[in-house]
Amino acid sequence: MKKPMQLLRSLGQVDDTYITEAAAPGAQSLCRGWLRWGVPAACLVLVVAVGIPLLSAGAKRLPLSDGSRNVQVRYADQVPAGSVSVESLLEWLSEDELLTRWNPAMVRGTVRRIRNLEIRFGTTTTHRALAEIAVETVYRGEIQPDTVIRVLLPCPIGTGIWVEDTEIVTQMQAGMAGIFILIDYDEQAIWQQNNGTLKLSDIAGFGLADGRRFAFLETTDGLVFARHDYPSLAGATDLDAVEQFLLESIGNN
Amino acid sequence: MDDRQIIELYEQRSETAIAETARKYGRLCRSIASRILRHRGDAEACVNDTWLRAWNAIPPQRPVNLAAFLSKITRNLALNMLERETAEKRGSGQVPLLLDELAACLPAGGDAAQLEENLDLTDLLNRFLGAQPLRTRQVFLRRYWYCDSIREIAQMFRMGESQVKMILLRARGELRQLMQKEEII
Repeated sequence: MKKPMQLLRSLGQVDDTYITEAAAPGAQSLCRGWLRWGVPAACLVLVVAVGIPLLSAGAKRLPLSDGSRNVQVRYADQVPAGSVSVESLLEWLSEDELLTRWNPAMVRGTVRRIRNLEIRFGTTTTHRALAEIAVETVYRGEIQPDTVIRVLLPCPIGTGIWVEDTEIVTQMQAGMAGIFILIDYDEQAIWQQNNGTLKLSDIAGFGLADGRRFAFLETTDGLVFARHDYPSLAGATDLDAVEQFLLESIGNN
Repeated sequence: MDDRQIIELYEQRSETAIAETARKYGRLCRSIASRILRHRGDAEACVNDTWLRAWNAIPPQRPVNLAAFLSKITRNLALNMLERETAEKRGSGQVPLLLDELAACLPAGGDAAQLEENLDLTDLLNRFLGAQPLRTRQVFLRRYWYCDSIREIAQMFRMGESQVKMILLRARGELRQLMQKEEII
């Protein structure tokens, strides 16, 4: 067999996940009805529970409104690694679309605290995290500076569990400065699964659409963000450069 | 009908298994075959062979990802058919172009490159793909797995053709570097 054809053949046997991921990039905007709100939803990394892990005994349960039903949310001290599998449904978005697609809020602030959540829809348990961010600067959105907002993250943090397409948000730590592009959870923002409904504003005012493209973090190793998705920020090394870019982009739109 | 139900039809040896498979995945498999073979009759033959292969494979196989399972069968059958036919006789779509592009991953004189015969590059390719950003990975596979033209990829991702070519050029360069690093070439 000629060598380029050998390479082409070997490509045919790559991981099914990659094949499916590339099957219909435009169709990956469908979030399979699990998350709906008043504007077209960007896709999230969904952490799907396999098996039936027990709720953390004695863990603090978050109060929910009547808009949530057949669902319980608790803070989770531990996330069982064996109970998690992942589907990544990231839709490809241009740089401009990342900043404008659903009119997100944009803030600069410092992470105050991160706590993992255990969310139980009926017999199905899934895990997320809740970040409290002290807002210093508001670029866009109805948020007051010098307030603390709660942001729902698309995966648990600090568990050592690898979740596809969350390589940026999993680096978040208390005390870390960052810039965040946020979905505002209004009254229509709900998460439905296994006959349960969680009104997202019951647990957080905002969310990140995915774990990779909507957070810019100042880590001990420097600025981290989805550099490939923001060509205009190819050379950015600090949050000030990101801030400048966002202000220019907002001005242009 | 969801994939689980379709697979159950195969396991029950129900004749409707193939009809349901064709209904759900016929378009996908025809698309894959037609990009490789171009001749409509050959592409249809490929797709029909895919259903037969699936019938013979399930059970005992129980694909976790039925779309990928069927797509791989179709792609393989199409490449087999292409190799049997001469390019002048049937026309072969994008594949000669793809082979020329992939030859750039190999040392000069690609055909004569010292790739070990029957070497399975799948593991290396999975690692290469896993290291790529999502968009690059999708563009790369649309080109070299699904055999889309540059123009089709540009339209799909709403970018210019030159940008598609640049993404592919960089990706091929990285693949070549990885193959050199692992002393494949």
